[in-house]
Amino acid sequence: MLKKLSTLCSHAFVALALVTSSWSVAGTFTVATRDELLQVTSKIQASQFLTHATFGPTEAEIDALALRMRQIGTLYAASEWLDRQSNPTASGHPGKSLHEAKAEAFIAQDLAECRITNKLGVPITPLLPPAANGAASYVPEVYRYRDDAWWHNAVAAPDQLRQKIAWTLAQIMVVSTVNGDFNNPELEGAGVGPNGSTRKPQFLGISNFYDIFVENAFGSYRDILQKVTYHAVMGDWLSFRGNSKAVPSENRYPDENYAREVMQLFTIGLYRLNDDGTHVQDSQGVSIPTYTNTDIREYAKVFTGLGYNGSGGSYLSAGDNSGFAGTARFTFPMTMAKSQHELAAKSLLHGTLIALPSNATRAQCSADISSALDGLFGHQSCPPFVCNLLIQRLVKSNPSRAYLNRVTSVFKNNGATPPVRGDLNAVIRAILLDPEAWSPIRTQYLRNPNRIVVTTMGSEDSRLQEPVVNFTRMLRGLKARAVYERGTTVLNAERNGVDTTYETVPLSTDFRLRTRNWEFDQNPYSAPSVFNFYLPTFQPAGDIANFAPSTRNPIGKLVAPEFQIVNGITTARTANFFQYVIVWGPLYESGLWEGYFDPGSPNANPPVPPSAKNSTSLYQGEDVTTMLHSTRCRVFLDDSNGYPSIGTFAAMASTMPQQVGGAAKLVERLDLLFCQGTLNESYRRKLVQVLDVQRAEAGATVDQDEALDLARAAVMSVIDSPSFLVSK
Amino acid sequence: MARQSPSSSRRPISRREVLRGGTCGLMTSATFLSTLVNLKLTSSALAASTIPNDGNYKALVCIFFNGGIDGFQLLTPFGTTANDADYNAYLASRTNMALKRQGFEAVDSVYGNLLPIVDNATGKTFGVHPRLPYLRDLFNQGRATFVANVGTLVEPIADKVAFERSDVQKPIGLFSHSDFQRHWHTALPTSRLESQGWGGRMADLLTDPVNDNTLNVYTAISLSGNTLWERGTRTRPYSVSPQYSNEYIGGAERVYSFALPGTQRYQYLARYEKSISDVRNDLVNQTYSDLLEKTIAHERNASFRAAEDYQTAIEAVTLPSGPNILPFDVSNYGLGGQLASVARAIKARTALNQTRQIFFVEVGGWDHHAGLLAGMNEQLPDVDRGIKAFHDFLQAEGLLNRVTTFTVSDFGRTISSNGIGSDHAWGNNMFVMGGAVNTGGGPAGSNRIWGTYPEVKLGVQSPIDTSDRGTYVPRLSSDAYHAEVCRWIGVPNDDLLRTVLPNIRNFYPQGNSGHPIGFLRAT
Repeated sequence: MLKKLSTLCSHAFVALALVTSSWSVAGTFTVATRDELLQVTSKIQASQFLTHATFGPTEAEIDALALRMRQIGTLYAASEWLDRQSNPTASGHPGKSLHEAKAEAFIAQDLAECRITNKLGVPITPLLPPAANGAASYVPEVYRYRDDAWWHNAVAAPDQLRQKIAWTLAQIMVVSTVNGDFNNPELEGAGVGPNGSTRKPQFLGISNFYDIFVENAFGSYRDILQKVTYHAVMGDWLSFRGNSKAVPSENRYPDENYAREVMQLFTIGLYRLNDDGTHVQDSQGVSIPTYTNTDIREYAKVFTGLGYNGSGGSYLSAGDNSGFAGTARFTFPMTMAKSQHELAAKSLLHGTLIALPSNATRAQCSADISSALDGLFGHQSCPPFVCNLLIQRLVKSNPSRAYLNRVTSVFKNNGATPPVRGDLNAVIRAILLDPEAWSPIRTQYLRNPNRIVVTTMGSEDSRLQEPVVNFTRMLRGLKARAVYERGTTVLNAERNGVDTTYETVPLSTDFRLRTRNWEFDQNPYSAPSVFNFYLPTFQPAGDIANFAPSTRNPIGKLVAPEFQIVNGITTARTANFFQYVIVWGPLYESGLWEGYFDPGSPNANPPVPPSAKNSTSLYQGEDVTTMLHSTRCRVFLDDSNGYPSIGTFAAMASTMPQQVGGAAKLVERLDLLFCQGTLNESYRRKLVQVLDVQRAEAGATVDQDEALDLARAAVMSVIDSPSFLVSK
Repeated sequence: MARQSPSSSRRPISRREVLRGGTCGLMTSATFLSTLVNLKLTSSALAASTIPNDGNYKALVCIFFNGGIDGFQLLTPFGTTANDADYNAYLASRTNMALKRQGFEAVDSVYGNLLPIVDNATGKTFGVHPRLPYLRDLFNQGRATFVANVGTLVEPIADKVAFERSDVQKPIGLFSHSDFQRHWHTALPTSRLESQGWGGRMADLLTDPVNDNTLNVYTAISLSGNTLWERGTRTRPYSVSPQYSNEYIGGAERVYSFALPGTQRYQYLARYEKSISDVRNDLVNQTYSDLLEKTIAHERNASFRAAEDYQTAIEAVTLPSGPNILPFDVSNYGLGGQLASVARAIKARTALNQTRQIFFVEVGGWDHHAGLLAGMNEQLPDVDRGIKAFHDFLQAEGLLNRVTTFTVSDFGRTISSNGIGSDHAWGNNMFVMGGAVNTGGGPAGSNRIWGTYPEVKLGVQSPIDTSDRGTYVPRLSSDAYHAEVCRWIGVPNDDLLRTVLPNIRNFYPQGNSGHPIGFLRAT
């Protein structure tokens, strides 16, 4: 490894010395000393690396990594950081979601039937208008608890790399609550779960699915493929749970949904690929499809016989189809109903699976699936296909052939003895430490005056960031805190008419953030379809589609997937939302009832007795209002230095000199934090000029309000900049 | 500190969002962005030709019933006698889901009684759902009509026998929401890979590629996000919000800290907002060597500007009112608020500089596996009132002949009951509203139902039932249905129509001067 690293080091620094005409000046940092020069250079690299590897860097993390980079070298420090990131315990999602549900005064035993009362016995129900179809009027928005857990982990979990990789993988093997029946608050299955385990509400199934990626972020892609295939959420989402063998007399044939998507989206893609991502071509120069419709029908036979896991794990025996129609069990792997598995031979891409005997065992039936997945995982297209998707989410939209080739070779062989294929730990390291992950940003040291000139490589070496990640980058960069009104939530829940005990949930500091589909067209667990929020080959019309890339590009066109969710309404709403957080904060993220139930209203339903309204005692007359507010999350940005928000930058603005370029230092600092030092030079000039004018209006001294306003304008404009949105 | 955001994240929560959190398998329109390759059909046609435009405004409004609305509750057999054979077949097949006829069956005080209408083509009496009285009136006035047993096809399928032949092409993903919604949007039911919808492809042809503003921003307006239907090569859906209340007129999203320089709004901005706005206004004047940066900068600037212009235009509009004009009901997050926003955009067409427009509105919650009777009973009044209010708006504006509204849904539902509802099926009955409706040339004051309303029978008793539950092969293709509105708005029946609807030649020969079905007349 050491040898490899040193090779990479020299490669990177050779690259740094090159300047070609396509490079553009991004920004200039004035420095006084050689030490400051090294500091700024390292900070740019640290910021760049952490932007790839986390949900957004903080200044403290940038400083710490930059220091280490100066001590032991850039790539060694990055490598050390990667090593350390495998240490923290994985921050999971279902347990956290359940915790949040409890914090919101629900008893997880049976959310649907739960009735909450305050201490005076006043029930808080119903909460929503009656459902249109006459179903129960009570629809808990359970998806919020999953979102709560996801946002918290993204913003605050220490295992940032793991979380980022999980988010990346979740955008390859996509399931979603949109068009999926995964918001059910009822408990899964009947009786106790397999092996006496605790039953869980069904809505946690999709969090449980997500944790496949969290737990295996540094594991094997093949293992993930296995777990994904057997997961009941995937089984329901792609309609192969309950998929049974062909019954020609009834004109019934296996569902082809999973057969198609596991090939097209999870493993090999549409075209046969070389290791460098180029298409394998026939003698006519035509790309060769990886599979045909006939192949799909053969694979459809493989994915038959899987049903919900039953109690005790032995639920499904020969002839027993109850797992097909049984109550959902989303947190246990599906099991094979051999009576429903197709026994006929299957002609797969890597060979034929011979017909199974009529008395085939469950293991024999399951072996069909393993073999099919082995074949797809072993397919020549799988490494470049998967590596391209990983690079697109982590580093850049258009990896070069050389970059793909290097990462693909690690996917095929991690260098261990014996070699392991699909070792994600090695693949992620290869992606993040590759010279091409660093080369898009170059720094040059110039004299008179001493300064660092940052240049960027341009269109083929960047990516539009996802809005969800932009939000976490902002929150993390601005030192967000989650604040709750009270230290404890005391619950008194009545279930099925039986009063249960109190439950005390400790003070939360969790980031319980709302779904952001409205602003972003993107949110965890909310991809519009199995094709994710955007397609890997999406090209926005205009300059990008018309661009003729260099021969380094494997597919001969420039793609920019994230543009697929950019439109008039998402750009406006996202701009307004970010401004809301930065300028008007704190961001009030509500508990369940906001918008539906105002206990202070004279028309409150149920009516709140005056004694309860005015009560201050927790245990003698719980005030409904207090109870509701206690579950409410408020998000404050950095409110240090006596400023109510973005205090660090307001403090800096308070001493901003009144002169041309006086705002430059503030902008530089924000640039390092949010734009990896690449803030577009002409944009920067405009911003500094505008801030200088605003500064001049303040007169001789900058008072607190004026400092805050300067900081607001500066922070918002940097978050707003194309250089923040497009990272290198 | 300071001031609170004027509206920001404190927006009302829409019914759609409430439903999205539910358990009934709803899909939002953003679901359709599933594709891997771009359809290249339009680009060549586009450069050479667009469709001549006389400058006289025309628009299409598509109402999408998300979830698969039960069209055999919207329009039923009725007959003229207690023992009418068609109605009895319907009753026997739908059993406990059948709607009742006042005068023949006992009065249904909960779900109401069917509203009879007469089809002048067959002379038969049909029943309109009890909660669609305005639509019934519009039918009787010749302003609306029904199209029977229409659905997604690749090529014509005569009957169940043909359906079972392996050499007959069928839509992929039979009766799955995601596939059948996507097929509806793309008109390419043999693929899951399309990134364009037929509305977008059509709008590409209807707009002027040279003289329109660069983004054609206001040509295709969506009340339901990034709908696939409106995505073309140049055309993209411009998302606007419905009107949620009388105080909130909806529309585009203005950006807080953005004002066009010199405008009055600019004077109201706080000092930091002015700074932000100045930078944003200058976005397109910067030099970007990275095309991703350039594209996002231009996109954002264009969006911010578009919102200003759009809001300025629609805020200047007052919807007509009067004794004969039913106002939009904007209180329930349903169709009323969406159509009110459409009405504002249409009324602001001159300010928005549009002569051809398409609109997409969507109401969900029709996947009535359970609660079919109660659900439609509760949801249809909003639809009925919305259609009527929109009709009255168009009439008051003199635009009835210039705007055609048509409805679509994933698929029809099984005829037979599952006890509490109906399941996914195929052929469906849809309706259309506008002054262009062709009343069929019968006696004055009469109107016609289009297509062939099937005998509502099950299994072997029905030649078109592909199951034993009433999963009818559509006798009219959605392509023909779409082609009808394409022809009306001006797409000629040549290669351009095939550009919009690639399979249309399986249903409608090139050069045929008549309309493919006939339910619209040229206006």
